[in-house]
Amino acid sequence: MRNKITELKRIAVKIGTSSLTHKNGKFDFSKIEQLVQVLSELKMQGNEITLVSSGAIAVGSSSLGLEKRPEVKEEKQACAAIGQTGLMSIYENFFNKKAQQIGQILLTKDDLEIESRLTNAKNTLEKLLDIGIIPIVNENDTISTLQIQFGDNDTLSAYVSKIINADLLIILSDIDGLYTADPKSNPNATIIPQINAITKNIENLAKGSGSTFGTGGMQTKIEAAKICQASNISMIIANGENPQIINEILKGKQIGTFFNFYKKKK
Amino acid sequence: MIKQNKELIVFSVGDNAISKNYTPNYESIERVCILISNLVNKDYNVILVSAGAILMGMKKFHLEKYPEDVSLKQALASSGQIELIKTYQKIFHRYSQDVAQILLTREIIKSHTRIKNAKDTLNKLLSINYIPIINENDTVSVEDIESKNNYPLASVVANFLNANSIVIKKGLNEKYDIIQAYSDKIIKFSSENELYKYFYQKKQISVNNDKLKAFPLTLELK
Repeated sequence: MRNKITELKRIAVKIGTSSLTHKNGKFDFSKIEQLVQVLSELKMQGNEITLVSSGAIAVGSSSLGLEKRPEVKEEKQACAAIGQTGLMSIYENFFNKKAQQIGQILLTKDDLEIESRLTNAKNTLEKLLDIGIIPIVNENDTISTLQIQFGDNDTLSAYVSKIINADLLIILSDIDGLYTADPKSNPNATIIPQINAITKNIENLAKGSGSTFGTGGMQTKIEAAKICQASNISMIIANGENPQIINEILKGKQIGTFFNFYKKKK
Repeated sequence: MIKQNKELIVFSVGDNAISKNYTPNYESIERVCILISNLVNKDYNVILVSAGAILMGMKKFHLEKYPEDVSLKQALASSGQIELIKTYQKIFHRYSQDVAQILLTREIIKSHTRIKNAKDTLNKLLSINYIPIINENDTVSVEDIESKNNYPLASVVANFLNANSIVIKKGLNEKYDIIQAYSDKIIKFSSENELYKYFYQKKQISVNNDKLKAFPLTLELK
């Protein structure tokens, strides 16, 4: 049923902090290394990969020796400014081992609402993909605080997918997909394998009691799906516990929730 | 919050101050780090506004000719910025200083919220003794991608933070210009020793913010 997926070439992958860290919030380098390995192999097979990665605040709080993730806004922003450089160093070291080069892109939502900035961002991303550099995108938290508080980069990843006209957006987080009910309270809840359009029902499912699923929140993922739907970009929500899941997804296996917006694509 | 009575210096470093023939000059980068570390240890707050991302990108991809294509410059900046910050981080660590990266555009002055957020972050970083390193966010703005110096961005930052002075490194030599917020005069130094002498002997002035003049947004740099 997902055989079309195997033909997709321009792929955006969004990974949340929870998929990059241990339960205590500290970085899990083996997961990052695995992710980098999967993405590098995909690129060497001829795919164009863009990574949207959170994790700057986690690196920053670790550098500062904080026991807990900061809660005050300025502290989060400072941690992001400190941690973003660490995050990029970590990615660069692992990607360089796989003979891949990366570029850093920091965006805010309003960057994408102003035409000149949007054009610039598009040009930069296209050029990076064109010359074979893997763009790693994150929210520019220093000047925009919305994403720190709500989005965890879900909507940012959909906007980025739209800018580069991606074939597929893979959102990896700590949940297996969109469930028919909250799996924590309802043992009969099952994953919805495929969604062909965002209906009121789906939105209510994400909003209602389900807003507590996982730390990323389902609501922002449905917001992301709506952006993708409007641009005919397919999207998948899956569990990022094991980054190998990306390969399984691209083989067309039934994993997570697949938002099939592909057929409408011109 | 910034400690009271600590003057804020914005340190402006353009491509020409840390490179020769489009090749990064590490000796010069180290001079900048030593100078700033000394000023920090002498109880100044210092913010570094540094160019150099494209040059670092060129080095990474072994390009000898400066690219003409704007998107290529942006792509090189996107990759080179990582290298630039890593370089600063490595060298500053030798002098026991920690750094953080901030990417801004000059357009920030058009948005009150953005300025406030940037201000809060920068003040927070200074309060925990991190040296913020600011560069133009070339991904979303090409305003300054062609310019030879980054004084315009430095002046924007200095103005919204009410900095006391801007130090401009003029080239690979030891020449520096200093512009003060409470004087129209540009002070010229021809050696680092003169610069040290000036900042070490100077009594830090706690000026009422209202009395500070705005820094000019552009400068005729000679």
